[in-house]
Amino acid sequence: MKREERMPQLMLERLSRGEAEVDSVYADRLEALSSEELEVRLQELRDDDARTLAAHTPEDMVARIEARRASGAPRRARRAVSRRGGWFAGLAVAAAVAAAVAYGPSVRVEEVASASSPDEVVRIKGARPEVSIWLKVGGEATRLERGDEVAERDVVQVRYRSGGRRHGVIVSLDGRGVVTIHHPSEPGGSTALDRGGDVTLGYGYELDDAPEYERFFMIAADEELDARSVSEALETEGVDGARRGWEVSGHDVDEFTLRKVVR
Amino acid sequence: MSVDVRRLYEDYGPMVLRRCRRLLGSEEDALEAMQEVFVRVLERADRLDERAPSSLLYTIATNHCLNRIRSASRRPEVADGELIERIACISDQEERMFARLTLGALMGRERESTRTMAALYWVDGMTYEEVAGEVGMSVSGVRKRLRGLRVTAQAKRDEVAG
Repeated sequence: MKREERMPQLMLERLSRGEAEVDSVYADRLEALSSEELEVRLQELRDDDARTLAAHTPEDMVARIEARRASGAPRRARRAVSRRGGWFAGLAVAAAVAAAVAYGPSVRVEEVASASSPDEVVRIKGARPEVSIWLKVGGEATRLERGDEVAERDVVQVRYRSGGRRHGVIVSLDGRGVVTIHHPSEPGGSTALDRGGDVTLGYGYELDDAPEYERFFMIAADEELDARSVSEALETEGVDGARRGWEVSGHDVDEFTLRKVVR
Repeated sequence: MSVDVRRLYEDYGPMVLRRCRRLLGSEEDALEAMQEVFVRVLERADRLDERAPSSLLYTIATNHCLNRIRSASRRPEVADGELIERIACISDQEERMFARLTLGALMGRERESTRTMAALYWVDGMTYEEVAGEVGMSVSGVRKRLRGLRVTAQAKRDEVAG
């Protein structure tokens, strides 16, 4: 059977839930389908839905999901968010209540390492990966704010907080579209993060004469990442495309942009 | 407990479980994965799209299951080929070969989003345009990523053939 003759499962799932957008995504395929055949497949889904809800009742499953959330498995940073109306607003509120905190970029990440294993890190509140940039002048480093101005030959220092994530890649993109990998120190090196609080990368970074901006990105996950792929994504897909890809993958992304000026 | 979690499960739980069952095979694994997917979704409620929540839940479930498969394939008792064979149920001979080789290569170093795209393309039989629509990327971006995988798969096949 040709690709175009198959019925992708996601298309059927969306159709069975009346998601209007499905028509534009799958217009050609839907046009080629007979309504009888489609109805048979949709009815199969509805029957399976009913069987699943009977076998795994909402009461039981919601209790299990909530218990799993409370136990932190899988462990993830929890975000408090606002949403537009509808039932998602309730979801966001529920997530916020469960996380018990609303926070911004400057909120502290608090982690407590278990005595039994270095892998057992418990998030107390508001944990999420964060990159910060510091300007080095002489022997001192001053923390920069997002959007601050920097110039050619300024030397900056990169720091991060893991937010409980095990792995991360830190890269920067300059106004010429050149990507620099800051962590790991070698493109093929380990992307493991130090989860002990503020971590300063062991070297300074001197800015060149690239115009407009230097945008730093920290991409964090619980599994090993490939710094080359991160870099390549920025170069080939641009910031928006790369960010969508990372977010689809469930990675956390933090951005810190500095404006370049001529002094 | 929030009533919204219940509604989310009632509306999408069966779909997520079907997806997990399809990719993982085992009912027990699928049930556990389904719960993990919901935890993940609830933690990322800001990314849910009201217009098409199925897409996000489905791709998160796909991604989560592929991660589980990848973890399992690192254990010596689980053969990559068997796993790939199981999930890439494609009748067309050539497509099937590429799916096996490509998804096999995918379990290594590829980005999670690339794995998800490949699963939608080779396991679900979507077109480039459909994959792009579901993951919110450009068609050319999806095409480029999957073309790269085909090259990798071809090289792997040539290597195996000697």
